[in-house]
This record gives sequence, structure tokens and C-alpha cells, in this order.
Amino acid sequence: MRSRRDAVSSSVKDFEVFYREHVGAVFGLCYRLTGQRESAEDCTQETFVAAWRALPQFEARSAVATWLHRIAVNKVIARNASVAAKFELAASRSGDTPPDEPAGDDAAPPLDLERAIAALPDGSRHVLVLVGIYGYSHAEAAQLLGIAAGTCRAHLHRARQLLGLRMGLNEESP
Amino acid sequence: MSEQPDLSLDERLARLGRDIAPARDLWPGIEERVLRSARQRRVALALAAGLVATAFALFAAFHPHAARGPDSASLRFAQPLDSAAPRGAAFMRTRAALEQAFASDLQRLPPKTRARVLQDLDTIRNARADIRGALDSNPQDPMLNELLADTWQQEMDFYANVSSTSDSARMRWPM
Repeated sequence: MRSRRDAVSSSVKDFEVFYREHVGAVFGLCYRLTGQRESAEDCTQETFVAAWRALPQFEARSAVATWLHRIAVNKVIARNASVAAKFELAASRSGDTPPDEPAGDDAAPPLDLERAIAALPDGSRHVLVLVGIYGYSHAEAAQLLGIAAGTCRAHLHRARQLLGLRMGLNEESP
Repeated sequence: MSEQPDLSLDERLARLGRDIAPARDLWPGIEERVLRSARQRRVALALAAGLVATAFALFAAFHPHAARGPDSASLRFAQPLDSAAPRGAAFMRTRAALEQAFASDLQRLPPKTRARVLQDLDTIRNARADIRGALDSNPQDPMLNELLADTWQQEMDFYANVSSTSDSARMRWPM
């Protein structure tokens, strides 16, 4: 008969497979939302640890990626809300040091756009990442971020304006 | 710089890849925390199991005919733990492993305790069924969704509780 220790060990191995399947998506989202590699790494780890703990609550009828995204967004928001995180962000942005470049292959996104996104105010960046890059609707993004749909639209409008200015684009908001 | 100046902002955003690989392997840190969490949880649940076992003993002492027969109870446990179609194979395998461990641990319990455990498990599952019924008409209700999640947590706590109890039972009643 398999012991409980064996069962847990097997579960952790399975969870590692799960981690390898989804780490790119989770880290990508965390990195875009935080604009900082270290913060993104921390949030990614927090996300998977939380996913492990919430394993029994996972509903098979919901998509794994959506479920992980929800946890990741919560972790990023919680981190931003902490005094330590705010201090860290303010300190890093007061200098001229640009955010880390995203890792990736030749199909990686253009550096200037990533930098411009990372330099956006938190609220605008969060909405732009979820709606503009990850394809969430305003209602879905608003729910994930815990804000009103109108606020979500305002943040996106502001993000597009700022990006247009910083990248020299003549953008008309839709 | 490889950017094309004639692309609109939306087009540039659409070209951004969603996946980004972290520069270092984050798994060792996650694994350490996962295993630590599992150990802490087992210790806490072992303490809780001691309290529950004491309560069972007191209950059995004052209500000797209250326990139900194990056979009918075992039949009730034979139902599938979750009939919904799984998505994310690795994730579902992990949960299945925990449930499998519980199923084997359950057999180690004394018959009366096993019957009581299954009765309590039924209570949790019935509550979940009720909450799901309510969610069918109001799927976005945050309180109902939280309650539903709580029932899963309760069930998994229950599994671990039974595991701890069965370990001590095996010591008292070698199989």
C-alpha cells in the first residue's frame, strides 16, 4: 500500500510538471504587471505556493490559466499595497535605471515598448497589460483588479495616451 | 532596434508575447515552501485530530448505539469524488493523489470511527451540493463562491485529519 509520504511526494512531482507548464505565462503576467524582474519572481513564487495551498478549491470547470492569472493578479496587487513594495517602487523609479529586459527569444517584444509599459503608473499599467496584452474585457479586468469598469476604461485611456507620447505615436483612443 | 515605426499601438501590443521565461529556475524555492507548508499542516492537523479523537471517544462512551454500520457507509464513499471533466492534467493528478491517500487511510480506521467519518464527509458534500445549487441561479455571488471554496478546504482538511487518525489507529490495532 502506498504511504501518505509517497503520495505527497508524487503530488509535489506532479505539481512541478504543472509549474513547468505554466511558469512562462505566470511570470510574463507578473513581470508586465510589476515592471520589475525581482518583484515578478517573488509574485510568481507566491502564485504557485498559493495555487498549491488552494489545490483542493480548484474547480475543474474553470480554466487553469484563468485561475492562475487571478491568483497572480491578487499577489501583485497585495504586493503593491504593502508599504515595503511602495518604497521599493518609488526608489527604483526615482532613478534613471530602466526596468530589466524581458527574457526570451528573437520573438521577444520590442524593448522600448516594454520599457514604456513598465514606466506607466500602476493602475494604468495593470489595465493596459490585462486588456491590451492579455485580452481581458474591461469587465473581467475590472473584476480582477477590484475596480469599477469605468475606472478601468479611464486607466486604459490614460495608458494609451502616455504610451503614445513616450513612443512618438499619434494615437487616437478608441 | 527592430521596432517598425508604422505600426499602431494596438498592433505593437498584439505582437508582445504573453509568456516570458524567468531568468532563473524558481521551482526550488517553491518546492521548499510547498514541503514546509505540508509539514506544518500535518502537525496542526495531528493536534486537531487528537481533539477530534477525544470527542469521538466521549461521544461513543455516552451514545454507544449512535454509530452507523461501516458497510453502508463505505458504499456511500464509493461515489466519484468529482465527476466534472478535468482540465490541466498535472493539476488534477495532484488532487487525485491526495484523494487516493485518503481512500486508503480510511480503511485503516476502526469500523465505528470510519462510519462516523463518512457521515461527516457526507455533511460537507451535501453542503457543497446545496451551495452549487444556489450558484446555478447566481453564479457571480462572491459569498457563495467563497463558501464553495471553503467546503473544498474542509474536505481536504478532513482527508488529512483521517490520515493522522488512521496512523494512530494502526498503532493500536495492527492490520
